[in-house]
Amino acid sequence: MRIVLATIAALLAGCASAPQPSVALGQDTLGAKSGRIGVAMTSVPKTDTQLLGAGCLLCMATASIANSSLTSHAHHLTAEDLPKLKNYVADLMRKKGTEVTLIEESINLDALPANSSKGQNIAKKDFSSLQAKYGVDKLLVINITALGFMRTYSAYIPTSDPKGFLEGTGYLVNLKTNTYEWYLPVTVSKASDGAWDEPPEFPGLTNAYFQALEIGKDSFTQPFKD
Amino acid sequence: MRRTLRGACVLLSAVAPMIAIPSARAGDAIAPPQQEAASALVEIPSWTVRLPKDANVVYKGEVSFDSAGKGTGSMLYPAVSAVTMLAAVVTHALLVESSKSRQKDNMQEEADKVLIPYQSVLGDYKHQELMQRGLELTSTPGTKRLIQFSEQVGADWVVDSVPVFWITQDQSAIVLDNSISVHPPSAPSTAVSRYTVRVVSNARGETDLAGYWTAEGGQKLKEQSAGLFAQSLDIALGQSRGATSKSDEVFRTVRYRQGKAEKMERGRLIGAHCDRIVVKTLRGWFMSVPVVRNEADIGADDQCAHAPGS
Repeated sequence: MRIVLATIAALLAGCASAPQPSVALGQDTLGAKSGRIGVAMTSVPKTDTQLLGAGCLLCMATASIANSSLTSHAHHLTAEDLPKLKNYVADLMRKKGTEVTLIEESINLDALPANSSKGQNIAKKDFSSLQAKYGVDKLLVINITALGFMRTYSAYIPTSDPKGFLEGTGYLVNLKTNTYEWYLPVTVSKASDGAWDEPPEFPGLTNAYFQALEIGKDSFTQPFKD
Repeated sequence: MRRTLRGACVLLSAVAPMIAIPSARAGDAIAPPQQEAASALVEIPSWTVRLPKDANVVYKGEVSFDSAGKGTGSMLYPAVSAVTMLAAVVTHALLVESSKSRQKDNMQEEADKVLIPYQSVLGDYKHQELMQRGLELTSTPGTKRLIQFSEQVGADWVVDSVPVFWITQDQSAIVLDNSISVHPPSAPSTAVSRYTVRVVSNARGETDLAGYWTAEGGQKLKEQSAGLFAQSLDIALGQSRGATSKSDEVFRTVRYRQGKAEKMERGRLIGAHCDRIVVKTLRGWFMSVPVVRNEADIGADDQCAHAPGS
């Protein structure tokens, strides 16, 4: 019984770990003396509809059916130049005198081992193997995790109108220490201007999606413009 | 050549066929679209604007519903039987829907507080005054007049319009959403063309913006509103006269200024003039909006000072 309780307590403690807070880009982080920095992205996810809060299986199925035409529309949306976001960031870093290596291939975070060290500003994954692979001292990663539309639910009931949505994280990892020198979580949700329920093309929501896409790109590039 | 292009009226820029522009930003240099030959447009010898039923001009505060919604949350339904569970779900749905609606009303009410310094001006501002002044500022050719809602129309083209104005929260700009119907003379009701046109004014830089707009009985606010109204009519009538845009145009996300904020809209660019662009949106609305000034346009102040959105 004690073992069971201890296991549950350990699991709950794991769930309750504090999220990584933002880390601002330091004044000396970029520039000629910062070492060579690799700039990479993970694969851009498929445009889709996120139904947050539809917790139970039946709730998820109900929400999924209720939003099927919107989801079908989401699958046809383009991410436009989002995969080139790393190029824009790399260009901005070069303007600050930083030596940059643009990593063309998508980084697969799942393939990296977990970092044995835990704590604030410590990367969850062990990126150290990428130092030799790409010949860089630090790695800037842009990880877009969700793209398309988002709608919140409380069980079976939608608690918001759908919105254009982009979610992701940008971070700069020092590959010697596996620590974050910059960390920026980005979540953008944009409401439709006026009515949203306009199938099959959903022009209001489609506009909101492209607004979220632009604002999301701006959020990742802005720290390198300042 | 540059002067000639700048001198071309906004309407012609708006209705001209578009050339594909692959650039991702509206602030980038925009090549002026080729202008459609005037002879291709239907001539409107005379046209009449019919006043709406409601006398007062509607103004609202600019509002964003990006944060609207009640968030996620778990809900335990009583599952004594299928009927009780269904009743609980329906009740939950009604409560959430009512709460969402109330939240949006509250957000609009909060946004409308920006209008408090304008009440003395807006309380007496009638469509008659707005539309008469706006009519004088239109550039669509032909004789034009304003008639009462109940008045009989003659052989003119008739324009019905329902304008709604928004003042941005920073008070530096006014936005017009105008629902416009254009009736050709003696045509069946099915021939009515409907347009929604949004016109965003250029942002003002005064320190005391409420004082600027409301001085001398709201002269500046009324002047600006009439200019936006005129521009919306010119765009709608330009479309009614037969201006078309090609169907193979490239959709892109354009950036523009709404007050001091940057906004974006997905659409097709169909005109550019005097730091402003005209976009046909995904909904088929038309938008005339200010963009960040290009270096090439600096010095064009004389030509652009009297453009309706200025």
